[in-house]
Amino acid sequence: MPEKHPAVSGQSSSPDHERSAARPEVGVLTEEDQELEGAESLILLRSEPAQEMDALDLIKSARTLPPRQDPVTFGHQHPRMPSLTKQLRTLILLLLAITVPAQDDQALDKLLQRLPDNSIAWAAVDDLPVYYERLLQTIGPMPEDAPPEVKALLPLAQLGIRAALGRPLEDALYEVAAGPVVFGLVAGDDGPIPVLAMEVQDEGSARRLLEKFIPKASHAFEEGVLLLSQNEAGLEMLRRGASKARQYDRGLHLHLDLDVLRTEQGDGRKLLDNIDPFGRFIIGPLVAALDASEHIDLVIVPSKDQLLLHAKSAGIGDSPLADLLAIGGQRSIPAAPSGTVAFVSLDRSLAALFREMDRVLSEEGAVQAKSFLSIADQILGAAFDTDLLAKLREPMHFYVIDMGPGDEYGPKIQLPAFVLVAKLGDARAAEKILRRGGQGLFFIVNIERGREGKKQLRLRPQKNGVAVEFPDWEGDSAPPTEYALSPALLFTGEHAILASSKSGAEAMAASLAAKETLQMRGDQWRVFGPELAQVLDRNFEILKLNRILDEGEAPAAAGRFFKVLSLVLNQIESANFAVNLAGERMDWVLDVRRK
Amino acid sequence: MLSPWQPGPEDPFDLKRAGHLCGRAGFGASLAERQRMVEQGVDQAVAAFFASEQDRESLVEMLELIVAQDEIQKLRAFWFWRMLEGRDRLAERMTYFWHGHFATSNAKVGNPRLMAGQWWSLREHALGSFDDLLGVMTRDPAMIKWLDNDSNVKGQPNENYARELFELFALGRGTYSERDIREAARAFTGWQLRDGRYHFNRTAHDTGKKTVFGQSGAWGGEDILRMTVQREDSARFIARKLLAFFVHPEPTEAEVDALAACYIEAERHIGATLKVLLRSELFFSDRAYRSRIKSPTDYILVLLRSLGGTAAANDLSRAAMAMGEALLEPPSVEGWQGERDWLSSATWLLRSNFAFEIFLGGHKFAPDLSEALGNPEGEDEILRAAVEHLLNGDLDEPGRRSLQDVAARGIRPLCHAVMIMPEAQLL
Repeated sequence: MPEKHPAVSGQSSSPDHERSAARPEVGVLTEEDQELEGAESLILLRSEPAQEMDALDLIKSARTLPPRQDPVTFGHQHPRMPSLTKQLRTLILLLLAITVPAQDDQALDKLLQRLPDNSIAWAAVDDLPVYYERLLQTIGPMPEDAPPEVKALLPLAQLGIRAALGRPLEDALYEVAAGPVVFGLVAGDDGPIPVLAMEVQDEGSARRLLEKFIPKASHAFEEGVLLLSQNEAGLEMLRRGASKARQYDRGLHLHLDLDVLRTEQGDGRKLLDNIDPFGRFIIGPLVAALDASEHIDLVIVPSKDQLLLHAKSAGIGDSPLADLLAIGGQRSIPAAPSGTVAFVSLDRSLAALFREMDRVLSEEGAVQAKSFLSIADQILGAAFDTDLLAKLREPMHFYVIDMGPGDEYGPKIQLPAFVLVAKLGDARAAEKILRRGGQGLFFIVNIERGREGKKQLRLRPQKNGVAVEFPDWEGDSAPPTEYALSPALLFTGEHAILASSKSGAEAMAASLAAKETLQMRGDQWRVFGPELAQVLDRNFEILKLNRILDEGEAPAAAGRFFKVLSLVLNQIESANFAVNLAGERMDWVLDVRRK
Repeated sequence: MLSPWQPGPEDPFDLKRAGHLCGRAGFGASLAERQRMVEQGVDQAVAAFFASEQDRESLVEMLELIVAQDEIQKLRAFWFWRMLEGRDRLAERMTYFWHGHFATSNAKVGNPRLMAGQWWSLREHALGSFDDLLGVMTRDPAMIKWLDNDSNVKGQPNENYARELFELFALGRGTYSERDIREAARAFTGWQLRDGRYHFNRTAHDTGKKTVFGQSGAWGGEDILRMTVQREDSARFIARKLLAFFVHPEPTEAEVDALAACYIEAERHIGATLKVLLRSELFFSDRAYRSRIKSPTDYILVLLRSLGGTAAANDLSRAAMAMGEALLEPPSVEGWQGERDWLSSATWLLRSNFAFEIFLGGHKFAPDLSEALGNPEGEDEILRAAVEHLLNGDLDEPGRRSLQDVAARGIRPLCHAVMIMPEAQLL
């Protein structure tokens, strides 16, 4: 049996799902948990008894990081990095910001008090030098098999930094920063003003760096704290400070004040107003929650091989968009077949969208939806919403599956398979409508091909459905990309599978036959790093060429971009973005796991 | 007039002449390249344009990747990239020339793969024998679709290709009769497509006797092509087009006669003809200098190459489209009228906006002017550097005075101002 991807939660119904068994469902640590463990980091854990062990494991794994060092003792004698290559991690880890437990809450509170009440957003780090150190530790060493040109980036970057700062980055960091740092965007008359407050170790060093790199910025030193702003107005606001205390979650905490943003920058329009019908279906409930939120708080939590980003916002509340939710609670979805690059499962009902279109869509969007329905009805020979969707058990799930390298005579672009899976309610009736619709579409496509002088496609019956075959390619060069497709519609009794390739549909059917499922709730978007890297690697030349044309990069730089990207992806086992939609509060969690 | 030009103390091969050569035979060059040319001398500078440096194999591989995407904009961007970055400057220039000559539009062909095939054929034969090029174009699948030769069959000849062959590709108006067209069309019956490739359909071919240019016989398409290129009118037609492209938009009859003779002597070999033309007194004459109006492609590429800069070819090709030149989609089989038609109040504004975007608008290109122009200090030095880089150092006193105020505002506003001057619209 091929290896499957891990389940999203730890509740796989498959007994051999060992990888998934160690995965906690992300949630929020209860106060009790924190007291029990004395947790310094915010660990995200749903407070359901069956998952407590997973959460505690997660906390413990976070503790296995090397002990935090007191930044005061570092001074100018911080330990050197063991090898230059490790510093490439700095580049990669700009993508993966992490944090460390707070050293001194009072110091950070003091800095947060500096930010005025009309701050649109702020970010706080409790210990910058230690943060940087931990950053390097979390990324780990440069992989041995990294391409030479990627390895060569590190000394180049280091030289650049050294040339700019006159010393290595870590030297400058430890020389200047004493610990906590707060960065903010403050509403000003002419737009947001960036401001910063930071405890400094060496005022003279800080002053020299400021004069060298941002001489026009306004700054002041008050009681060992650097106040820095783009202009005098911002500096004055920093001096005056806030009238109220701020809540701070340990770690790297980012706070976006949506109320201030709307007041200062908005024109009264809600975010949802700008989204078309398709967008409303995909992200509408999320955007509605943002529209209802006063603020968003994002906390970034590191552990040894995992990075969690957790944001909190208001829930959907009584927004009509809440009607789009198909389940609203826990559900199971088919396990991802071997080779899956990514999957998306949204707790959404298309039937509800069409049923409630006058409520959930704008007036213009409802017109678009109705015109779509009239076309879809014609193709299907039945009502798309009341006949077809009513016979499905939503939500549907979308998978991208890498089917391995094609043959050497195939198209130059090697696409993965795109697969849509729907559970059937009335299987017989739904199959009949879908088969008829598939034939209608096939007929239309062939008419269009005929008009363009292209050879006709063939519709081949399969054991459990139909698949489209392209005619033999007789051109001189490689066939066009469309020859990588063999759209298929398969039925497994309980499910309908629509895929861009027959092999992709068959892989999904095999997975369904094994009856392996993943448990989840809300919206889930998951990407598997090594599998995605394989697809990138296989299409390296074409991606590189397109980057040259689209970004204006030199061939070497464009090639390096994808090599670095592939290297990073190969280090990431999976990245999962989950949004728990139900309830008064919405939790947004990005969970990135290293291999 | 086609004698080799002899530079002298009064009329040296300087930056101005090197800039003229680079603009006409390529798409411009950086100041450093032009200075190097001046040091090498005119013989070596001209000869360098004929030295092929392309890695043909990698170019074929890249073109296949472009074709695989089946998007005409990708092909257009790819071509722009080659013109911007390619080392075979004259080959790129001549591919551009032949595209305007055998103007074929994807708007009707509707097949980027066929358009890519035609582009490659133009490039491969750009500096070769015109006889070969004309033969390849006549069998080119995109051309067959474009001029409907697919429907040119015995008994129902379609005259489109034969008409354009005589009028636009090889002879020019007034050198043939309507009967010549009708009879030649019969000779091309059965030159069709099968599975996207040229195919000679014997059953659709008219094997009967035809009379073309007063000669009778059971001519086939090959015979018509041979008879066409061998006519003196054809030599004069091609010579006139080459002169209009490389020397002056309105060549004199004497100039046409001279180059036609050279072309015939070179056995209709384009590269050999250009070797004479690009080294000639005529090419370096004052009459030729700045006598043409830059096409949008010229304007964009000469600007970027002059600064040794690069940019996203996709954006550049779209900018050229906005200015009225959608490569691979010419407005008609006659191609672009060019010259004065390139400039109107609207297109001039678009040129200005493009230059603004490059120098002041935070475009991806965002040239590092301190690297491109050196580090000139003071208004006079800044002005000298900008004019040297962007106008081959050739701007009269009134022009320089008009830029003094802008120079005080800095190098970027100055470069923008230079690029909207009349001199910057000329090639």
